[in-house]
Amino acid sequence: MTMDAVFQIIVGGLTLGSTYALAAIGLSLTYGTMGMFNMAHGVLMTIGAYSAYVAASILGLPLFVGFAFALLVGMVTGGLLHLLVVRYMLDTPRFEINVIVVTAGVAILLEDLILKQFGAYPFRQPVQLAGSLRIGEVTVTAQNLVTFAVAFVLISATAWVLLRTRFGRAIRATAMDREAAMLMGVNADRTFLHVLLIAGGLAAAAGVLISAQTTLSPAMGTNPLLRAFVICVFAGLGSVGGAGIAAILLGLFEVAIQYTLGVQYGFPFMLGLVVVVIIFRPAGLFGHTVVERK
Amino acid sequence: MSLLEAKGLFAGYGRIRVLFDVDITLEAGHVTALVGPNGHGKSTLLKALAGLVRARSETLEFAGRPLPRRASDRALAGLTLVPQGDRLFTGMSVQENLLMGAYRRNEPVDDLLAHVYDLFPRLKERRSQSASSLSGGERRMVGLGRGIMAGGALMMIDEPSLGLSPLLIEQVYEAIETMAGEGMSIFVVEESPKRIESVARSVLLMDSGRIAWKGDMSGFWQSDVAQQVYLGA
Repeated sequence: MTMDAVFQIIVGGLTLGSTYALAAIGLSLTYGTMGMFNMAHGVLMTIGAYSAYVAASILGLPLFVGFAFALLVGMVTGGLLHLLVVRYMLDTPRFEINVIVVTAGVAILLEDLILKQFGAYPFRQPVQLAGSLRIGEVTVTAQNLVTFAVAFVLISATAWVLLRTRFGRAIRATAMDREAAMLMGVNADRTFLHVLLIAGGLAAAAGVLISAQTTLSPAMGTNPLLRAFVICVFAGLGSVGGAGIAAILLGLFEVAIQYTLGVQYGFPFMLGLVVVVIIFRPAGLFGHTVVERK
Repeated sequence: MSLLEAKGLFAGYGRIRVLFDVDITLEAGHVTALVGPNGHGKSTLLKALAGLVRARSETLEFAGRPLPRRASDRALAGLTLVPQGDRLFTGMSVQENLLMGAYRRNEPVDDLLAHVYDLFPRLKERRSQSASSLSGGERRMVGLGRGIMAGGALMMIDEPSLGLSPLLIEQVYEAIETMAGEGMSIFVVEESPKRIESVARSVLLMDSGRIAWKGDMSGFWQSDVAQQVYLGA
């Protein structure tokens, strides 16, 4: 394999991987903090993608504003999901299972509303950049660079908030021991709202980037949700930083397989790798087997 | 004026009743001990006061105001519980745990942090270590340090000696004595009255979910109830 091929794989892998990372960390954060596997995470991506489309194509706003609008709509939708649905289920028996069913129901409802409004015909995402540059034999599109840059900025910002601010510390504390966090004065209910706001924004951003690589369609969130879930399990459920790293690794691996064996083998081989890792590390690559110390 | 006053407090878990008609009054600036055999509701009383266990009562006032319902609001109001078994945030460093203790405070907490490190120099050495890597004694210190960082009007400590070696128990009580010397109001649960008698001014004895005796520590051993419960007389 030539150096150009390796470089091309790295460019493609980082683009794919950073999109996955953006999709996965919100899901991981939600699970890690609330014990909630959010089946509506995929439809939040769809909503983000369509919001950007509406802002740019129908309202004629600049691309950057369209992207910001998508983020905002994603956050609001995530927040409403908490305020209208999830809040009433917290602390009920079998929350972890019930919330999967309920958020799946919400996802189907929202997806059908999008289908009714926009139809099943796939659109091109207008919020993307044209143009490319060539370095030797390697093509780097402007969209490659933007995808990577946007994902990098949003993931770094999320990491900074979680690790370096009082607000983020409260989220992590709630994830580690909810009752103890309450004893410090953290309102768990409000923390959960914050988490779904963040997750909604990240999912919407991922949705815009994903739709720029493919097309807009009401069901576009299904596949990324599955991938995000696989990444979270691979990384260790609830490990947010781990999910980011795992996403990049799996993106690189998938693109390498696509390049060498053929596009159709990318996803199956990636799943194969995940299965092998899970067999040897059931708690995931970065997960800890919980050791109770009293 | 009393710092905390509860009258006619009943509490339990689901259908299981644990506390019956508990009346307590805690004075500001005192160390009050809550003693009694295991499984008689001491921890439940602290949890009920902290808002972690549902309770109903005729009166529940803290610093002259009714206590809010949520546990987090009670913590914000300055009623701090250092829970049994430490309940540290194990994925965080020692210092982050301490900063979480000061979550309710909006002002800078550098002074308080320095104060905690003065009281427990070991924690200063280990400030950037993960809380999960600490020994039992160090974990207890972080738990107490977190409570100090809250800077609340009343600190409730649930069994600070639990699971520690005699030497460490002595150190923990020395720290509590220092805190008391600084005028902190402390309500401490302890199974053995012997351990707490040099620190506590007042004592409450809990037996089968009721307050069986209350008074000054000095009069405790002379009481009939204490003799019955602890000496089997």
